[in-house]
Formats: sequence, C-alpha cells, structure tokens
Amino acid sequence: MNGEETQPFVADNEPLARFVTTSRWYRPGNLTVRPEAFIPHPYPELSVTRHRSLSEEDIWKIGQSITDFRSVNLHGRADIMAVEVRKQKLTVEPKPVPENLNHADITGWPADKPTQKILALELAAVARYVPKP
Amino acid sequence: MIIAMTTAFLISNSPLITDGASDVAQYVAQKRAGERQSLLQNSCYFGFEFKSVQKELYAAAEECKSPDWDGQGACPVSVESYSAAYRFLEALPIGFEPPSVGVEPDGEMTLEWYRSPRRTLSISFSKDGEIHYAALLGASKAYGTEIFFGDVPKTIVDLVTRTTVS
Repeated sequence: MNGEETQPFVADNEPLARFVTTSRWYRPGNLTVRPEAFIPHPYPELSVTRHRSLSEEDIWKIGQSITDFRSVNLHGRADIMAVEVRKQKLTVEPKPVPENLNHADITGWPADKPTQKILALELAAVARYVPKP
Repeated sequence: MIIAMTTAFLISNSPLITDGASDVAQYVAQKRAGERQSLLQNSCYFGFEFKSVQKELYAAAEECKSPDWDGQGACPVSVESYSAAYRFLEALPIGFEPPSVGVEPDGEMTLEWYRSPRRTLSISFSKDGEIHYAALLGASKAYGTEIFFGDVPKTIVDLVTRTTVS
C-alpha cells in the first residue's frame, strides 16, 4: 500500500468504496445503493477508500476500524468506479491519512441541494452495493 | 392507477361537495374532501401500506435523531423535516405507490419511489418547508425545489406518476 507521494493520480478504472454506516442508505429488498449514501455533508467533499492494492479483507478491515472508532455499524460498502464520478464533473483527489493510506475525497460538489441530489442519484445508479460478509 | 383515478373521482364528485363559489363554501368543500381522503387512507384496504410508511418514517427519525448518527458528522433529523414528510404522506393522492423512507446526512428525511436505477425519484424535506427533488427517468432527469404548503405540488405528482406508472 502506497501513499499519495508514490501514486497521486486516481485512474479511471479504479474502484472506490464508500462505507455504508446506516441501513437507510441501501435498499434491503434488492441490495442496491440509495442516493443518500452520496450526499456530501457536513463537508464539501465525500470520503471514499481506493481499492488500489488492497485485498477484500483489507478493505473490510479499514471500514471496520473506521466504524469501530466512530461507534457506528458497518453495513456494507458502495463501490463505484472513478470514471463514473468524473462523468458527473466531480473530482477524485487522493487524501491519504495515517489510518487509511488509500483514503480519497470526491470533491467539486455544487452548493445547492437539488443539484447535489441529482448527482447522488447518478452515482447511486451505477454503484454496486456489497454487504459486509 | 385505476384506483387513483377512481378514488379521486369519488372524492371530487361527491354530491356533498358544494359548487358554491364563496370562500366559506370552498373551505367547507376542501375540508370535506380532506376528511374523505383521510377516511380512505385510514381504511384497511387503502391505508395499510401508508400506515406502514408512516411507521417507517417514525422509526427512521428515531434512529437518526442524535448528531453524528452516521459516524461522519451527520445532522440529526429535525422535527420540521419529519413533520413535513408526515404531512406529505397524508396529502399524497390515494392509490399512489407508497414510497420508501431514507435520511440524508444533513438531517433531511427522504421519500423515494424506485423502479430501477434509472427510474427513481427522491424527495427531501428541508426544515424550511422546501421539498428538494431529483429524478432519473431513463435518459432524462429532473431536479429542483418546491415549497410545501400542505398539498403535494403538481411537479411531484407528475414525477411520481412518471416514475411508477409503466
């Protein structure tokens, strides 16, 4: 696993994981992602984890450590390709942090809520929900 | 859809509803129509699914009533947002497909009509009485804001219909 210094660019074909910390962010009936999972708040950016060089087990370990630290449940993750984010004129910026060197932010969100919502719908429509094993 | 048309027809064409043009006559007519709609929504046949959505709304508001409920700094659900979503459900025309409930990290409650990834409508209720909506309808999309005065805005009625009716 490398930090930002060695691979700053997020490739179009890189999968990104958005950890789902509430049952309100996916549809249990068909295991699909709801757009609420992609609404950026309270920050103007949305936290994701790059899959790059991580095994499935490593990705879940990161998700679990984040949710344990924040005392919330880890339900699953929403996987989305970086290219799908860029199609919506949003940007993926690597933002490694000590506890998660694969951390990245989705930035470039508009300030108004309806536009945030339509972007969140577009992202949710192409995201894949992966329930926690 | 047949049910929606039938009940709407029954409500709007009831012999008890006046054709009077005065403010009082209009008020009485609206009140009676509202009472009839409420009766239908509370009936076993028409009301069961909406009652369960209202219960779900309450459960979601309870789950997300504390700050940081998502572990990422989310705002708690506001009373105003919950109340608006509840009143919206009451005002929804009989026969419409019941929505599912969600919560956004800014504390706004959401209702969603979902047919497929590209046939989805999501509306959220701000604490300021606004409804923010966004819909994917095949290759087209719609999004914007409406003010909620107690009646379901026509834009939203149209979008629910376009999302759910084949």
